[in-house]
Amino acid sequence: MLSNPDMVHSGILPHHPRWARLFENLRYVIIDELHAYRGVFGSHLCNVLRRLRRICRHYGSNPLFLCSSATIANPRELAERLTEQEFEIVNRSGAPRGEKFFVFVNPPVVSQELGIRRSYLAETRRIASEFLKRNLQLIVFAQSRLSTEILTTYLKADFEGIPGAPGRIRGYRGGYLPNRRREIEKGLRDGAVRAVVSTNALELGIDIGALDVSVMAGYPGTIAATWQRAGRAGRRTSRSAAVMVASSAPLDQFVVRNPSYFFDASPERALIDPDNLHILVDHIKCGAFELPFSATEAFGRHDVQEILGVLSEQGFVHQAGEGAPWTWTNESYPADAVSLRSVSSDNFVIVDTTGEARVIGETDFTSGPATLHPRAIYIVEAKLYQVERLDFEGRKAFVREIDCDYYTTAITYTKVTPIDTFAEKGPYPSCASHGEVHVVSRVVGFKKIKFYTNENVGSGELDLPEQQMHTTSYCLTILPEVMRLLPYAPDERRDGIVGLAFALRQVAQLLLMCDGHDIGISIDSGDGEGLASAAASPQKIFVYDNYPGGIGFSAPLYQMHRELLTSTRRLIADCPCENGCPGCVGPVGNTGPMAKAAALCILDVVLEDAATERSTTEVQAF
Amino acid sequence: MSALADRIRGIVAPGAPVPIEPGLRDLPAPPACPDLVAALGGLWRGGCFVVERRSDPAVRHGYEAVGTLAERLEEASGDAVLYSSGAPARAPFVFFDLETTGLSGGAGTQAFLVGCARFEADGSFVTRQFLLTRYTDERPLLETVSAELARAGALVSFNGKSFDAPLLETRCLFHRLDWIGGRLPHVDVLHAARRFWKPREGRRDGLRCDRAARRPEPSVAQAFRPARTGDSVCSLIALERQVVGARRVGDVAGFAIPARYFQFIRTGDARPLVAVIEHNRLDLLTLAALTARLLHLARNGPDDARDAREALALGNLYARAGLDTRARDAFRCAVDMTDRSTANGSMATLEIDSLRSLAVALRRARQYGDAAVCWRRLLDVPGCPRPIAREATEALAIHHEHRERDLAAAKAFALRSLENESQPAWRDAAQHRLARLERKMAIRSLKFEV
Repeated sequence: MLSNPDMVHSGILPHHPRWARLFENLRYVIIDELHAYRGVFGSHLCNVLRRLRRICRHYGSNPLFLCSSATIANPRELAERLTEQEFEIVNRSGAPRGEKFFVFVNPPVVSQELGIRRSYLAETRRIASEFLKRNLQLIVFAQSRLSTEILTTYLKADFEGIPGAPGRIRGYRGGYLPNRRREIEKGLRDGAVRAVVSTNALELGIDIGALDVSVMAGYPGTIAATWQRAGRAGRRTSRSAAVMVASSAPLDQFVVRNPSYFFDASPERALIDPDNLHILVDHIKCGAFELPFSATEAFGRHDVQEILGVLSEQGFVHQAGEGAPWTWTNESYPADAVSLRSVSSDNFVIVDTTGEARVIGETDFTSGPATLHPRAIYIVEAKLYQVERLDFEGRKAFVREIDCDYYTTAITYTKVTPIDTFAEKGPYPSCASHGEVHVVSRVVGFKKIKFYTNENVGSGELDLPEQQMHTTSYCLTILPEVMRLLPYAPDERRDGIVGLAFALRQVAQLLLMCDGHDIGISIDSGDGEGLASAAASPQKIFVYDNYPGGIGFSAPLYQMHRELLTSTRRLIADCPCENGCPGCVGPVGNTGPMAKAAALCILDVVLEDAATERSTTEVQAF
Repeated sequence: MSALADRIRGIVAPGAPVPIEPGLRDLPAPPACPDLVAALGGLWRGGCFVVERRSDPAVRHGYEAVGTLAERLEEASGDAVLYSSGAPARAPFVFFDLETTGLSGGAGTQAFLVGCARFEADGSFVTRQFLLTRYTDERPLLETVSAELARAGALVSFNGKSFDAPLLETRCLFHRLDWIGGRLPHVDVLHAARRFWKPREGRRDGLRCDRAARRPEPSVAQAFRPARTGDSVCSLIALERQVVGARRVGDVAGFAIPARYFQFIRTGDARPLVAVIEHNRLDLLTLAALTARLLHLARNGPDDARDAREALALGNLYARAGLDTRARDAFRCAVDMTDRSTANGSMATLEIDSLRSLAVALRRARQYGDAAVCWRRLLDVPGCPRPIAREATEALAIHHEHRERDLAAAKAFALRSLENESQPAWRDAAQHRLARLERKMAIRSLKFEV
């Protein structure tokens, strides 16, 4: 039987009596693309597999697990964590490989003192055009849906006037409708499409044949993803090339300045946290629905009997007496309420009302407000649409075709409120902690950015509903005493915090070896109580797991606290720019001229103390 | 409790609380050793708790006495095949109905009460209700139920083909038991009830008369609001009132039943189940009464029909079974009955359906002239929907072209059918017919000239 985790979770396991013959005779479970199951999805899958093995035991089978994975540092560990079985690893490739060139490109510096380089998108466009002119088939990987559309627009413009050429250049990203996707994939396989600009949607899984060149606009964020994307070019014996164009982001600059980091270091480890209580409790409910839990059964690392006890207080399960099994005593079908991939299975659809209304795409719920707010420019394969109305309740955005020379980016306001602290170091002059937090984010406005020049040509305010989640976070608190020590004006001190947060995020991403969107950052400087008290409030920088319930980044980050701060200091201090650049504390225009100096000063005070760290104490609140 | 438990509480608390009816919350504390037998009046048999009740032939249920129901079923048992999709349904009938812990199906939904009923030779109605008192007793319960059903000539249920039977089958699969219901003929009264008794407002309102109507989806917000009237015209309760003529007092609402069972499981106090068991018993009795009515109608024909709707449904029932003469009689009866009643919206719909069915049946019987009369009357009914008007004009065009040989009339009908048609395929057909008619008329006029 061929299936996916979602179907096993919500369709097959809850109806296992109907699949009795399958479960009785099940001998092998094969999991392909194992490396994709990390983070939230991997944590869910681990629990789905725990449930699967329970059902197999019920029917008297004990299947063997076979997994295949792309290059990651810990395929065996991941397989063993996911399936909770021992594994033997086969890690030598016997496939023929052609000659391959791997090129790192750092766009030239345009302004030395501002540390600004030529736009990496412009550089990517130039490089891709060169390959296209030589009739090589290529794939361009962009970092986001937006840059995918921008690059497609640019490349089509480069070949304007040559008959048929723009049609041979296509965009590809999540949110396109399936028919359009299948058409592009087929075009790539039979050679009709010469260039495709894609997000990570084409990184794995989809058969598009072997191409000549893979161009990455920006460092993909992880070593594993970089190899995956590079691997899209030249799978057979022919010569091929992979080009990585570095952006001015710190991570990119670090990699392009230290190529050995990329070529010699082992790829990332895939982390999962199947015992995240949110995830675990959901799957225990599903498990209890499928088969009563016995009074001695274990499920995951936590004490399942205790969890069942709480579930029974809420009426989900019942134990008829000491030692009796826990039976499901609720009318609901719990698997329906649990989505393996995201917070909710909700999405927004985009309806084009230019002519007869038709659906032209969809977007997941979380990124809906940021990309589909009223007056946003929505781009599909270089065609521009403007959002006229966002029906938030109905999950629909109504757009109309428009001819304009700008695109929009949303301004999102995020507020983090601590709920519970798991561990804390401190207290003077800074303290690091990790714990549970409540994150509220809201799209408050947007900027209009001109194509090609990237000028800011206007902005607008928005009033959209909030999105909320509970997650875990690392928190760095800098006390007002420390702030007062700084030889800077209050505004400049604030800039220092903003710059420090910017750099901290980059280093955290590197240390955690996670994707950029896996973590979020937020600063709490006590603005809420007015400016006067703001000076007396502690400054807090949160680095939170960008998933409900957290996915196990905040505890390791807390343990690496010192390393995090020293690496951040090194990143800022070693940067050749004068007053801050996108490679350290952020561009001067965003953070102010003294941000770099102030951030370094803060780190010096904090690190002096971190060296004489005294004790680690468990406390109950931030 | 530990810190872990507190954290879990924070996660679990948002879940839906189990709705407990206000009246039940204040029940005095249960007796120290709750006695099922005393509370429910049942007994243990073969590891299974059974509540057995008997209704004497003289007891009335709505318009009829129980004994009359028994007689009618007895007389008409041969007609049961009409209602069982061709399976050889025969007496003895076993009526069955489940009360379950949820509506979603799947391994976590159980049937906690299996009600089975039959008529005995003396005309009394005997229900046996098997109660799942502990999770671990499910297997003996299923075995006992299988034995109970095994003697049936046909199973009779209300929506059982879609809900009750698959659910019991899943439970049997769960315990690796054989599900006997799969081998027995099954009469699902809901299917027939929709055709006989579901009132129609206007045409093609979609035959929505589903499980949800019978057992409304429970939700906390709705839990204690009285059920809206009108949205469940084909529920067992509604049919009981309208067709059987019975009325319940102090009945427990369908959505509250699982919560009562869960309360019993948690506290051991069986008193909340008293009303559930009575609810299930009345469901069975009404099911039997509806079945008796359906079989009685099938046996006695349209003369016993109370209204045009019943006569029409009866005609369709006969037509499907290939009993063409009886079908025509029933349709004719339905048409006559709509004549007699005042013309309102739903009556017009019934009249159209009846006339159309009769016309088709007459045409099949080669009574073309009579069929044409029906088609013509159909066109005169105010508000006749377009597709049916098109069908009628087309039939009349054919009739006049080929049988009456009245080309002018045929042409007039063909033109009318073109007017009524928007679908290209049908328009093409009508135009084709018109062209042919014009050719024929030209030839005929030539002949006259010569």
